[in-house]
Amino acid sequence: MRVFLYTLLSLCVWLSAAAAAAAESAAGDREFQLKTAYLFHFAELTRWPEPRPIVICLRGASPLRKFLPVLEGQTIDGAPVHVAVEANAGIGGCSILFLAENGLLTTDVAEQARAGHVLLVGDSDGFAAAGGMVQFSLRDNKLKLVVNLAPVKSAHLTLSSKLLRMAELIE
Amino acid sequence: MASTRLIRQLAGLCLTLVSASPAMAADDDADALDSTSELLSLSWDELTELKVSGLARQAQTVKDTPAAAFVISAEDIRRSGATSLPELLRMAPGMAVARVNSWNWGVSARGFNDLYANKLQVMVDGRSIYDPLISGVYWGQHIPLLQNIERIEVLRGPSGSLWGANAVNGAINIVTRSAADTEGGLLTAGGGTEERGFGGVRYGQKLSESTYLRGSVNAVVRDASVDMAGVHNTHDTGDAESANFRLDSQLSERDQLMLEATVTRYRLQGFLTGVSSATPPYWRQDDFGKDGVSGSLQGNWTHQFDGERELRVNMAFTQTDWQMATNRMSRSHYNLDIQHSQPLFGNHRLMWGLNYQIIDDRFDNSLTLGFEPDRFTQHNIGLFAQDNIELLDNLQLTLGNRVEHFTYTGWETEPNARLIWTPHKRHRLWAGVSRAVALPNRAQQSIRLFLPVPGQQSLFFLADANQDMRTENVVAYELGWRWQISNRLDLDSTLFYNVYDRIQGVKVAGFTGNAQAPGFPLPILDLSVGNYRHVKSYGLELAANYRVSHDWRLQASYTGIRFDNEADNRQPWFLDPLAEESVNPQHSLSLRSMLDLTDDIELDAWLRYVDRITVNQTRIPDYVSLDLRLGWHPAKNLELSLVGQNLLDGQRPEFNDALYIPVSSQVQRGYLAQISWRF
Repeated sequence: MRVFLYTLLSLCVWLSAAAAAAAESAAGDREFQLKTAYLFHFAELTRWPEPRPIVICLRGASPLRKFLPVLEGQTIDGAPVHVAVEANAGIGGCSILFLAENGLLTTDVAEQARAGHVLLVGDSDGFAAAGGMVQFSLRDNKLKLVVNLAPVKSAHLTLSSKLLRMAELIE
Repeated sequence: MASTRLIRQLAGLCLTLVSASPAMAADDDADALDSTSELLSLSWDELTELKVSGLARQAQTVKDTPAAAFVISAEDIRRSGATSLPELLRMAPGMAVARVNSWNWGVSARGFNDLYANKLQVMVDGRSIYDPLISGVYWGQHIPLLQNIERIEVLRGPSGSLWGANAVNGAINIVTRSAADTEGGLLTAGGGTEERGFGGVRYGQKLSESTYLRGSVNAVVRDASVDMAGVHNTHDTGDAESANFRLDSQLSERDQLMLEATVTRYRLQGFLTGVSSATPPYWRQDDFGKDGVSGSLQGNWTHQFDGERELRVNMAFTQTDWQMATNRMSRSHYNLDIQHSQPLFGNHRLMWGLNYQIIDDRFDNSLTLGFEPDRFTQHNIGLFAQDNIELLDNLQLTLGNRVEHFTYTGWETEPNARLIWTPHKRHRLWAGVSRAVALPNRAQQSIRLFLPVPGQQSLFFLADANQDMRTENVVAYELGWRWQISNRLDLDSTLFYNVYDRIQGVKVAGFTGNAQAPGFPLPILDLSVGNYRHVKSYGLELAANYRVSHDWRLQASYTGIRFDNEADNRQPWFLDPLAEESVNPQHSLSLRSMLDLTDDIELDAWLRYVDRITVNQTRIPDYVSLDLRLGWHPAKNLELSLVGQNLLDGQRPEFNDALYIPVSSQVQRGYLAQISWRF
């Protein structure tokens, strides 16, 4: 009798713990849900030298992979947004490229981005300083942006003043 | 026998958990994607305000609240063009806001509006700012720097079991920004035809890795309003200055500390009340403005224990001193609030707490206005408990009660039961039954007011307090439905039916032959204040939010309210016993549009309709009002704006208080320009 009771009790505790763990991971997800929404706005707040379809690409292992597909088929000024998360796709077709690690920001990638007018976004420390264009940083529980204007300009991209208003700029 | 029952209960509990868990896991991914797509419809400004962890965004918490809740965000405040707190509250459904003159407003939820509306609890970061003398708020004496406000939470309906007495028809919590969110400098200044000059400076600094401090000072100078003929000004000019400091520190991983200090000084002029003397001229009308200083200190400490247990301690001290030609007051108000919350077995979450208040005041009386005794100390103690029970995955029950002991009235109880059901992720239905009380305040308990009867020069009245005044109370029945029609459009509706008992009324007790004012040669009416009336009210509140695109947001709110009260007309009433029916507009509507013309230019419009009312025998016609704002960001840290307020009328009356402010005022059309610079 008593054993049964304890088994039942421990089962309950274990289940509750599992539920709590699930809730915790959901809280961590939120950061990447926000980043997904930011990327959607970036597509709207960036001006490319000529009109092109919006393709948001991802390289590297990032929890963003789970959320980015939400953007597929959304529209910006009537134009549909596409998402490309396969590693082998070329950079040329991307309008926004999210790099999960600074190591992925090779001179080759930077050069292709400059020539192909691709907005390079990342969320690792020092991404903007290392030649990335827009970097997410977490400060006081909010997402902040660090923008390196030099590579943005050399890729002939224009970022909206609305975006720059809340960003920290590296000149 | 008992253990069998225990096993059965435990097994039942586990079964619920087991059956719920896989469903939860499967739903998890879909929910995550769903909540992401909800974020997509937000504007850039809304998005950049969101926090990464902690509570879900406000809209979500509001969505799951089993009560009528509304949030005014920092962006709403910035784009409203409003320069004072009460003007902002006009956005929320269910709120009645009417301007009496430059520095006075009647602000109430769900009717009973008055200059001394006593059924609304108002807090700044959890510290009550309503004045225990009148159980209302002197809105002109609170001039926070609007840029320091993160959001204003407006809760309609009784919430006495959480916020205590006087949260009868609603509670408002003004949440200021954490010092960690306001690093750096801000300079803002503006001026115009009505808001003559206003501005402030703020500077925030990081003291250590986990501690931030900011300070701000601000001031406002306001022009007089115009009289009912629209010819002369009513001399209700004035100025107010305020300083605020806030420190936020993460003491450890589990401890959070907030300290805040505010000092406000004001000089509000105007023809307020006439001073009587026992010899001619008996009364005169003059500048009886109010000169005052109030300061407050508050500390808030939160400790997180293991297992989602949390302890919150809030202490506040407020010192208020003011003087008028007729009276002078000095008051100290101490408040201690402790709140503990913890999950109980399975699906219960228990919250309990206690509150202790000491209010110690002293008056210098005059013939016109006195308080007996002139010195008094109240000790009020409250104890509350609330259980949140998850009956099913999509059904939640909240049961709560607060018992309080008041120096004036003894024990009171404020129970409440609420249910929220989510039949579908786009629909939420909630219902609530609750009781709340409004305390007799210091004025009702001890005032002695000797004035000419409004509109008469040779008839006086003497209103004596009623020591036996009891609490006014309400039993409220509410039903709400929130419908997220699409990712861009949501609708929030509430129906309520309130039964009020022991509502204050003022009767003429007769002529006492001047026994109370010996030697006074003119007739004096004796008035008596008591719990003479019963009132019923019912109404509908609607709020809709439509995000047309990233650049354009529309918000609408509607309030309809009716009163059902009967009065015995054989009684010699002094004030209109059916006041609620006439003083509260039956319909009011607010429509706001926030449009980004370009990335740097914003065009905002705010249209309001308020139905006609009759206050103190003055008919106030219905009105439509339009405010426009043009905002421009010429540089990264600079914002310029032009605002036109009340554009459709040169002037209009909104409210009246013949008893205390003998000269009625009208609100005028106004223009202002403002600049904000961050550094």
